[in-house]
Amino acid sequence: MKCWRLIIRHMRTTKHRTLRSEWSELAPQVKRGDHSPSVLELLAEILRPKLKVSKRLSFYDIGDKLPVHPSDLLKIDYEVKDHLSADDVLQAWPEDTSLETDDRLLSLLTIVLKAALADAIHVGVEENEGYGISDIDVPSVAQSGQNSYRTGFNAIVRVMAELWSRLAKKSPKHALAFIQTWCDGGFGLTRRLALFACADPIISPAFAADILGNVPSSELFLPNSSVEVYRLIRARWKEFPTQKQGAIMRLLCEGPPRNSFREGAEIDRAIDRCRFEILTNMVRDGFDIGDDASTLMKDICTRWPEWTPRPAEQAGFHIWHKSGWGATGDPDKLRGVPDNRIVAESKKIAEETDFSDGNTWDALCLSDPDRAARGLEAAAAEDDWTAELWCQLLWTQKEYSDPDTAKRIALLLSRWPHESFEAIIDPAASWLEEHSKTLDDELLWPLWDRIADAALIVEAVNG
Amino acid sequence: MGDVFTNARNASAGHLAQIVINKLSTDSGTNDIPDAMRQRLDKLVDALGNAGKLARICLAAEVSFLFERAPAWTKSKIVPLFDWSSVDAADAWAARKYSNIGSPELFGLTKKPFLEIFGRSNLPSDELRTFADWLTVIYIVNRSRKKEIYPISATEGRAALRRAGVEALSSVGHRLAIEMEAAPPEQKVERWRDIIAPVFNAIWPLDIDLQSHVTTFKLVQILRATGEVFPEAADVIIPFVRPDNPQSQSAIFSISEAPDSLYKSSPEKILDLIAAVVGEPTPRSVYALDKALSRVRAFAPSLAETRKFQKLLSYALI
Repeated sequence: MKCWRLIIRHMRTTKHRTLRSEWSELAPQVKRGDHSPSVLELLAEILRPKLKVSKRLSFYDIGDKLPVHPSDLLKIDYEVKDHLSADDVLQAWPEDTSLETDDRLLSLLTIVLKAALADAIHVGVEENEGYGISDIDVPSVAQSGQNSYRTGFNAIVRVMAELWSRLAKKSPKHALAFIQTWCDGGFGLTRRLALFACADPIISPAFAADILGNVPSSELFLPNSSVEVYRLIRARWKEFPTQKQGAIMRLLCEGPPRNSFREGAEIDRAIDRCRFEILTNMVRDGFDIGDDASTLMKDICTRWPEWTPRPAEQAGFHIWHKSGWGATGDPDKLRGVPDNRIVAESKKIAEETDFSDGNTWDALCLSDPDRAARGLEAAAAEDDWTAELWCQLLWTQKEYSDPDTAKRIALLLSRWPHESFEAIIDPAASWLEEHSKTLDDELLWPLWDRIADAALIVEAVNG
Repeated sequence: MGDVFTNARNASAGHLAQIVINKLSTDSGTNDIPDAMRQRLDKLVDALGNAGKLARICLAAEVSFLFERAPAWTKSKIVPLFDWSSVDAADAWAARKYSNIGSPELFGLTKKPFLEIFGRSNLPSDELRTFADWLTVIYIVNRSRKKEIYPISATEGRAALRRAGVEALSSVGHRLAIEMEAAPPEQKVERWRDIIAPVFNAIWPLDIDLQSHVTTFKLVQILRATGEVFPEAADVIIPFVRPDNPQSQSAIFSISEAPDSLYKSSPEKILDLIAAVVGEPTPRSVYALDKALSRVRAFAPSLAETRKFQKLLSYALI
């Protein structure tokens, strides 16, 4: 019954193929300083994470197990309208907004966030304490590359965090009030906001230490609140009163409660790993962890000699995402090669080198498209019309240094052999549109006619 | 399923169409287009298969510009694409929404299929909202100028909106609110009496079943922007205000933050508006209501003794 209710709710609230962006309408008003209640309301509404239900895909068969939670049957996410990011909002929200306006918006966002968290808990994808959907959406409350491509709760939390920082500069008293509100909320995510805020020097060290010491002990280690815990310790540990340092250190040495783990897990190992991570990070940051913690560290290292701490930048993160563009080629491999030989040389390099070494020709198109064009012109003079190399040059949107390069390319495309022209229709059409404003009509239209004859016929036949 | 217009802009046919449009826009205004260009446009529009469709959709998106530059050609080749008997009509209208309304003459040529949009059950909601916005803009423009009037009667607009349902009304309310908000304080009375009120009275459906909480916030937004003409505007709009969604309560929050001038101009009407927005929720459940009522009390202490006020007070979340 609960699942059906969620599906019906999703169907009622989802707007099909919605391309109109409420944010694009609101942003100009926000930028020009219209911060009327209706604008703030709409902004909060846009940032409110909304339930999204879709088909559940899993690699694991649940077998004969009876589903217990809606998430056993459905894929449940929260998403933000228009895929709005915190950066979009923060860039539009003027930094010199009045204290009262910042305060009003932050209050509204706090209400909206708590309502969304209560909803997520009701739906069964979030917990007051423990790992939930908000941990997936918000790797870090502070700015971090790990927040890239995250949706759901990410945008509202990041906006709140940065807005709070701006407010703190304007009025520490107002800013302090929010920390208390966030701690009193009973939600793990709002406590993370409080931990984030406590790293700010405007907050007294004793108050910050109290906030840290009062979070549920599992949140020191297990959900992504550990990111804010590490960040706060790194920023303020030395300022904390000695007595409070001792109390917090005892919590860190105890590790997460055993009942935080499910039955059958390697609980002792997991608890050791949690303590190992935080203590090694503190040692690396130059903090005195005391005799008891040092002894504990030695014991853990004896039990698990193969363990090494994660890199400092990953402190507190349970999952760390990295990506790259893959191997890029090295255009220097073509250095010294005469222009009339670079096509042949590039082909030879491509045959001899491994995929992981990247594409030398592509790198040349990006770094020196004029030279690549000269190379293709020389090859064409010897009746070498390698479509693959041409496509790479035509798709590359780099400005030419030589004003004649575009003309030469247009002329060459006009002379392309009829039988293989189909292979370059798409990049040629795209290239021609890009250069249509600068090419002379005498070059533009014959090439347009040629592409049109080929493209419209080819597509008509295929269509 | 992809958006056909997006596919078109990334296809060879779309690039070719865009080149012609770019060149037409840079050529200085002659009365008609050269034969060579006309032949290229014909080649695109008349192409067979998917390529032809993608080219036509790209050109349909630019119908306003093409009609200015080549009216006869556009009338014969592009305007028919918008007729719902054309297989390209749905995609042509979907692409058209990224453009502008165009001239009254062009609107006259496409008015019939445009008004038919509002009765189509399978239209994506974003398109419905965009075209409801256009419809409102057309009426606002017609009230704002004496010449170049869009050929549409009051009954045609209201009939279209009745067919479209509640979602379209939200767009209408949004546009009217923006127009009202844009008026400087000294022009509020004039803007209301000459433009917003006549347009509202002309096109807003009277059907009871079309009035819902979906438009409540927008109607309140219009009223908030009316300034000194609020008492007059309240008489027109409050009858259409329905209780706000209990889970949202944004309308009452908005009222509670309205400028003093609004409360001062007519605390009685503000109380009427609050009563309409709040409805009959569960006691002690309405956020920001206590603030709104306190402000009413501050401007008209005698109202606090009324039954209406006391009843509303019982709904306030304190």
